[in-house]
Amino acid sequence: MTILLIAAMGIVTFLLRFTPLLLAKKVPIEGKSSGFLDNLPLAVLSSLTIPGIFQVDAETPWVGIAAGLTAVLLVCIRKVPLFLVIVASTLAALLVKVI
Amino acid sequence: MTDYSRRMSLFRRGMLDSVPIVMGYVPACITFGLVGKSLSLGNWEVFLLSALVYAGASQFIGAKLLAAGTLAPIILLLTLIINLRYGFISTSFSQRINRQSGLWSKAMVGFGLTEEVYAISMISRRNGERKEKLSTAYLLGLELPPYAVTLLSTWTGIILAQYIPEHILPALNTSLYALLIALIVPQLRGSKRSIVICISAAASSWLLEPYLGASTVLVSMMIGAWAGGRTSLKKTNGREAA
Repeated sequence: MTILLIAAMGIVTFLLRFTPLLLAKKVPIEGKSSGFLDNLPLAVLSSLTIPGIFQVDAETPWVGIAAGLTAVLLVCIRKVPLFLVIVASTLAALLVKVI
Repeated sequence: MTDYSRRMSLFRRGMLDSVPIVMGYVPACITFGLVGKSLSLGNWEVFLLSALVYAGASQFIGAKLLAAGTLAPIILLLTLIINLRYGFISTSFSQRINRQSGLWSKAMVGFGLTEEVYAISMISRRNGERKEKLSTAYLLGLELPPYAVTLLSTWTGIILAQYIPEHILPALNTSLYALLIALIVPQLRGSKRSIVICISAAASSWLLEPYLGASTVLVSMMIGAWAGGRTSLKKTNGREAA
């Protein structure tokens, strides 16, 4: 029974992702709405990051902050490869946690 | 180059671009396996939430609701509301894919469309191939490894549930946020509009989160995108992304 419910949850989620692709018009949407959609990626990323990063470790918010600061620094300083940024930030978080 | 080898090289490029996503998903999914077990759900229930729903944070909420024995219609309604953001993401995404691609490939691409896949594919598009549509081969290459590791890591988490000290996991989960930050920061350089979008989305998300919980992203992404549209439409050329 629970399995069926999970499958239904999966179908709901899938339809949300699939239907817009299916309905995509041959002619791209231009103008205002397109500007709005262009802004979405950054808006989604930003709202996923904050406040989530402060809550990633409920007991020690510094864990998330350390990872965040490391990531920002590395991205700003140089063209560090993306996976190195992630490894370094995670290590920083682990370090703070252990200390 | 033959059509086949061209598609294979696009597929490989997609897989290469998916490496950062994979690194973010491994600890997140191990955590999900552990959390699911700690809520005393069955192994298969935890695994199928990852395999069939495949929707990050809302899986955790789904697991909690299932464990609490919430009524099915309520769970489905909440799933719809929390995952409504995928409708907008997918609408935005639909303008970048090859519209001629078949039903089956659209279904596969749609199934694997997570926030991180969306962000990476939209940003790789900005690197010099603005006009070009994202090919199905590239997208499948980008989507397959994250999904595969989601299955593997969830199962690993389920098995490790008896051994792993749970307090260390949040620190590992910061990898997903490092990925998000690495995607955001380069876009902010020299673009007033991007800064407005980022700050308004982040601030509204922070303010609304205590009230809206898991639906916050849906509302704050609209606020951010809307605020970005309100700022001067003067094109700035500094919007290059890493």
